[in-house]
Amino acid sequence: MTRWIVLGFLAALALGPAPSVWAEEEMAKIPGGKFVPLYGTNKKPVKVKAFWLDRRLVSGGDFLKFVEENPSWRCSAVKRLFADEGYLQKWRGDLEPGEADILAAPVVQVSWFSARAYCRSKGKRLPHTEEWELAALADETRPDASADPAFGRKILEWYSRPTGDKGPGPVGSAGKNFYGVYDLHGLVWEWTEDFNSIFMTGESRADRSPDEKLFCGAGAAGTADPLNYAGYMRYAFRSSLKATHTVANLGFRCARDLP
Amino acid sequence: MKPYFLIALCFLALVSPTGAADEKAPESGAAEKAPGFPSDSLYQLESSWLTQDGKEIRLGSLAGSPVVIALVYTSCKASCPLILGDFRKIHKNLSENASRISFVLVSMDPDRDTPGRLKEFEKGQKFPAPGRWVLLNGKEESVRELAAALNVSYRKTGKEFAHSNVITVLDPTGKIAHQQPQPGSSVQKTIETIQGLLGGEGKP
Amino acid sequence: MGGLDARSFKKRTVPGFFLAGVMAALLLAQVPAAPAETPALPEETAVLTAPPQVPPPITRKSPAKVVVKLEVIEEQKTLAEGVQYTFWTFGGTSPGLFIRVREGDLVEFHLSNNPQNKMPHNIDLHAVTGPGGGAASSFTAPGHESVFSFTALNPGLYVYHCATAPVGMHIANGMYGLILVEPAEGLPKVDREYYVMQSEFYTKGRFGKAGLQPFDMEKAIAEHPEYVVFNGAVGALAGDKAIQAKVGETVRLYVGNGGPNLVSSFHVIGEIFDKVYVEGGTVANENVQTTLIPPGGAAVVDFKVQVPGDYVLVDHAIFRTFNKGALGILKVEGEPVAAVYSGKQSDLVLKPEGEAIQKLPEEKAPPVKKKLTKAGRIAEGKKIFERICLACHQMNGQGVPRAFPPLAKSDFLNADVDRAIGVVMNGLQGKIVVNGEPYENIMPQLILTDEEIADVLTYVYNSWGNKGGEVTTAQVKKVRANTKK
Repeated sequence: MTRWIVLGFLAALALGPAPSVWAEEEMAKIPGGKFVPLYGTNKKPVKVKAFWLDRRLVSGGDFLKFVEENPSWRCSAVKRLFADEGYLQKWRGDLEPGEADILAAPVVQVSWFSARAYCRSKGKRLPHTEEWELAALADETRPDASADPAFGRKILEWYSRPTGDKGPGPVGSAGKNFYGVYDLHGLVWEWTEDFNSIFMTGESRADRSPDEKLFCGAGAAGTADPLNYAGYMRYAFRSSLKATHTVANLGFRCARDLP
Repeated sequence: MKPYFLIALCFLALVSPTGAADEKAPESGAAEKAPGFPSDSLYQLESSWLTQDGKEIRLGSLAGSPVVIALVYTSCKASCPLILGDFRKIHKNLSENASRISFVLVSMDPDRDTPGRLKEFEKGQKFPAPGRWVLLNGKEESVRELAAALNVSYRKTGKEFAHSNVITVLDPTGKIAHQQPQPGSSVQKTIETIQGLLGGEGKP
Repeated sequence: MGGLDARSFKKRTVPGFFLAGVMAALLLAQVPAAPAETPALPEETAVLTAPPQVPPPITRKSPAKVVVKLEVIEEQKTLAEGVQYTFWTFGGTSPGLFIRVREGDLVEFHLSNNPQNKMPHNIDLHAVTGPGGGAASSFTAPGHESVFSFTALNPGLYVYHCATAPVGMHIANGMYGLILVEPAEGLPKVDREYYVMQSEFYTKGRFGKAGLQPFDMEKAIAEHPEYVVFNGAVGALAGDKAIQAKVGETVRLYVGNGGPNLVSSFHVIGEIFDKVYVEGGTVANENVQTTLIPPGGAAVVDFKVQVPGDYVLVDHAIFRTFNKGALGILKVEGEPVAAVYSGKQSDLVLKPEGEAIQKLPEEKAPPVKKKLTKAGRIAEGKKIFERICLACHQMNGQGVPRAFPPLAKSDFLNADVDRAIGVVMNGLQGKIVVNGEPYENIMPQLILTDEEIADVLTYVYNSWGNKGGEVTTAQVKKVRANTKK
């Protein structure tokens, strides 16, 4: 405990902002673990080191503060290298998100570059895909609910529904999991640092290398869990992205290494 | 070469465990600091890199001439040699103007491909037009960022990398002029693109 | 931009992968180049049509550059009366919009993914020569658009579909359609052309279970659909949506099968296909009764209609027709030709065998406890009728001669309300005479609530010249009590 405080203090000194930021109410410690990722054709589990993960998605309100402090990330100023034309498109103006529900909902239509810049401004980073997947194995009561078909079905049902005009509900509205992390399933897709580390061509059946086999046809037999449709869809979604993309149901949360 | 290696190792050892701490600042101010480049120029990236000669550079210092750039790693046995093969083809086809083109190879394996290792690799490869080849070592997250900007995917699996084989041509301002998805016959289009860029600069 | 999407990569441990990868690389590299080099062609934007309509025949005598714009839309639509499903569509309809081009055309394909969509999508057109049929080049995140080009080298009728992982689910949710590449010399002229596509749906709730039904992956893997339909919904080609023709006309159906799993034994009750372009290709077989259409395949069928009446489009794996929804109607109007007529009726004998049981799910149907007015009953009853009774008794209650007795102006029906309640409740077997015609067939026991029986009979009594009045739930309960004794 003491060690934590000291390290926290040091970190705070080093970073400037955010002394309280990564106090436990804001981030949850996800103990390390092993799991068999979807692309593991050899069924070899990958090891994920313990890390801190934001309990909540970054909201419209959070992002508003960020762009207030960082003018280069405002809608009118952002460089095209870092975000496409859809960036913060639903906002009325650079510093005017519009209605209150946009402030309360997870921020969406943000590019990978902008999500990364946000996390850096808090002294954090985006979670790695494997970290995110590990944390997302949990349901309300178990750290790993992946063996329960009902869990997979529930996620799948959410994936099957379009977002609709209203956009996602408020941050926190999709419930919290075993670790006390909210909304990993059921609200928006989330950026990860290495979203582009697994790639499908989109032509899933022609995939030839071990990883490309992931996506369908013959591929299904090669993946760790042929029933894990929900997993397929996350990897498919990530593979469809470019770092400049902004999508109406894609948000993010931040993570941090343990000291 | 040994000293380079050690220096680089120390550098990495210092950098990686603390992660975010030392890179917090640069990116947020990116937009103001690079007023000269177009909004979608790759040179908007503020990351810093070490060349095979241990020199620290920003990508923006490549501005002014066409650039051929790809992500590789030196212990790669199969697809990277194909990429290099295309680089040589490009050079051969444009040899008269080769002195006006930069050939840039960025390592996706920064832990092992230290500047020293890159130097050694360059020597072993006996690249034509020495002086026009730039081999870059950067922090892992700088590599990830550059890859994202070039729409290149990669992932480490053990000692190997699974990666896309995109070859990109940048115009003199750092905008992407052409991307060749695979090494192979379509290199002709890449060569034509560079020819066009050189022509546009005022051919004799 | 498009070329970039053709990401591919290789892991370098096994030499075999390497070689395969290099070959793939070469293939990939060559394909995008070819169409781009084509000299300037006249440009036009393709007319796309929602099923069952087909774009007009192409009259051009030379190739053109044809721009096709197709948007993927995920939206809730009706799968059967009272049953909703979240469809993933090409162009807002399932099956997707019909595309018509000419052999030799350079097609510039724009695939956009609606910003409100949840999933990335792409398109694999079987008419494309090149890796993935365009799938890799068209892989598109929500709110974005991909463009790729191909030359339509081979004439034929082709399926297109989404090939994004998990492919089965994208197809099962409605992502398929047809593209016709007309041969350079054109197709023989016909009077009517229609677009029909069969497919299955795997819903969590049993057939007919009301409400929004999610996709059921286990049923999809087991290949046990709850619905097998034409044009994306039960009744999409029946009632006032039946396709039409006049006596003496030639009808051409472009028939596809989206699957994802079942092979269609496509048949039109009462017709013989004069010509079938087998598997959507160039060879035409003649005088065909039933043609086999695999998932991801198609056929073109031509026939001349000579006798007025309703012709029933079915999958002759007949339980699918009577229990799962694979039924459409071609309505032919005009003067009967007696000589031809009598020869055709034997086809109808097939129906009783398959008719078997029409039933709602075993689980309790959703109880509608509200007290309904007579008008409300009629409205509810109409839905039930269309879902359950229509297949045999037909849209206007006219029945099918010698097989299913008419309900319209039916003396049997109007004579005795309690008997009618009993028939719906318990089924009926044995010979009866309706309006002077004998019928000997099986009416299955229908698993309906008392309320639903009252609703459907109220609708029937107030339709097609029947005597009117209202059947109440109390009346039904009384009959049920008497039956039990």
